[in-house]
Amino acid sequence: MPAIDEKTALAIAKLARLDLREGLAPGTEEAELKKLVEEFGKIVGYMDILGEVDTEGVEPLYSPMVEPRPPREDAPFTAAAKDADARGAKGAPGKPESSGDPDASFDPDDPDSSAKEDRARWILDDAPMTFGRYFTVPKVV
Amino acid sequence: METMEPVIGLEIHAQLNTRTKLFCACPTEFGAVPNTNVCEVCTGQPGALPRMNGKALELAAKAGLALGSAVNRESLFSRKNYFYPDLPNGFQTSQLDPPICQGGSLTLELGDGTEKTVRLNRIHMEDDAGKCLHDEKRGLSLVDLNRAGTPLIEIVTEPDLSSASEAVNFLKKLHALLVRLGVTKGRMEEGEFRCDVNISLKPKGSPVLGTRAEIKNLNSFKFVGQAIEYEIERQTGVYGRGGSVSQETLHFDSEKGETRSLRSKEEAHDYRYFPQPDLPPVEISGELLARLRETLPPTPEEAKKRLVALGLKPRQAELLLERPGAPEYFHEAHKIDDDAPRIYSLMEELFLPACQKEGLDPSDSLFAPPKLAALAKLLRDGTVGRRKAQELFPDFFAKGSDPSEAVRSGNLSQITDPSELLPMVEKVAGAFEKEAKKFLSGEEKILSFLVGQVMKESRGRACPKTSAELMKNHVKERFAGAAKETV
Repeated sequence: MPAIDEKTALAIAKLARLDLREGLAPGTEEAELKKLVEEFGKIVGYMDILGEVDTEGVEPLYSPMVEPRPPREDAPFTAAAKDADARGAKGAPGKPESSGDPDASFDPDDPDSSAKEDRARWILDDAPMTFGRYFTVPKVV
Repeated sequence: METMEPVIGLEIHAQLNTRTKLFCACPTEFGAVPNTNVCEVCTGQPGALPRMNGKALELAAKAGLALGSAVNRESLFSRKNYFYPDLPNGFQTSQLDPPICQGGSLTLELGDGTEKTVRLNRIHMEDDAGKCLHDEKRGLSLVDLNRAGTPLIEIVTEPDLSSASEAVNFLKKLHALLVRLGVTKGRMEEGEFRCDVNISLKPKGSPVLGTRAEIKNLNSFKFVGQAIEYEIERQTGVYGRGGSVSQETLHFDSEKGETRSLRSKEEAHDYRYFPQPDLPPVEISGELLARLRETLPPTPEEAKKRLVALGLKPRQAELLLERPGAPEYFHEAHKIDDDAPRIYSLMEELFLPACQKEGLDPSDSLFAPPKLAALAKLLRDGTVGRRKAQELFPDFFAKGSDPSEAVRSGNLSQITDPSELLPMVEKVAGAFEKEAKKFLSGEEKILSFLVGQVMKESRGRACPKTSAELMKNHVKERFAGAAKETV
């Protein structure tokens, strides 16, 4: 079992942008941290069960998908394709997903574009914070 | 101090020339209204599944084939994990092992006439991040994800370059090749072709490499050159003072012309690559590879050989190859009329200058290759004279007319038939008897005046050579006796 020491746990927390000490009452930090490191070690240790399987001579399996998935045609989304998509009438694998004019995509300046057409608008509306057509986050540099 | 020499390797990002993103059907157009070309996949919504763009795969493989890389029949996407607001998934989908292409090389001609082969380590596919704008006043970072998910290839060289000029030379050659192949549009001002430079110094002749610094995201040939020059000088200075170069990531400030530290080795990312479970391994079939190989244009050396074999002089072949679209146009015309020298000279003297004037690619001209072949035939037959061809060409070129058609309907052809020319010759000789007699008495230069009169009479259509022959004979026949009398 790989040893998860405090240093490793803190490094991983930092990579995940987690502050392990946040919200802890002063004086309890060290004990809490110790507990977290222990729990972390247990989780990783549990995964170690996989290491017991003898994989000698077994090809690495990167994907459980048996059927090959043919790549997509390089055709942009169109209103028609989206409708077809919504109806579940997706083209056969390897066939273009769009039909008709490929440039007839959503026009952001068109006030008549309904929200249903505008996936982008949906996504923006779901964001915690936006400014105009931008997503916003606290300043990063 | 020992003499130090620079060791330079490049990582080039080229945006693949696709209409849609690498894993979703959002358009890749540049300059769209922020966050319009986005969907669940490229904004990293939970549960959205990526699906590979087949065109991107073909273009990446094509780049590898053209650069002599081994194209892996099966390659794998991995997640490269890091956090930044312009990376909605929290990871970049990239390739670690195996990438789509391994190895390869590009050979440079150096200034002193020698060649240098720069080895490639690998070419892999990955998606681009979005863009961040930083709003100082509001303390916000604004994120536009239109670019997120745009397909890129990263081409990684071995550290085989040893100067700024070599690096720039390499980049220019690679850029030209990838654009010619249609792998990338290569618009550097739009960030479609950009470069990271790894650079270190080592004692001359030593096999041991020094600590390297990495200069990130250079988007012009000029900046690459400047950044390398500056960095060589900086590192030389550090060693000269007895210091040591630290492994760090640098940013090149093009306004100040200097490099600045972005992050040190201690702050370096730990990307924790692992296979991307949402994507099956990338497979490329033998048939597809064979088909791609067929679409590869010949190397410049092969192309030159081919043109010379058709009857062009080496220098002519080179001139043709320097102009984008010209060799293809030549071959098309040559298929119809195999008079290579004549097709070449028509292109060189008339067609290409006209294209250049209009800013047209030869393939976009209305005056298509069969039309130039037709004009070559008319010239060879003598149906149209050289001067006439020059005179008519601008009209042919502008309208895309078929010269043989125009000649037939417009009565523009040169008159070579003696029976048609003779009456005009007789008429001129009668009208200019004095001049005709002068010719007989030995003033040969005056013949061109007489021929000129025939040209005038025929409104420019008389064949000058035939007219001159006819005139000579006619004048001798008609005035020989009289000339003797006057002598």
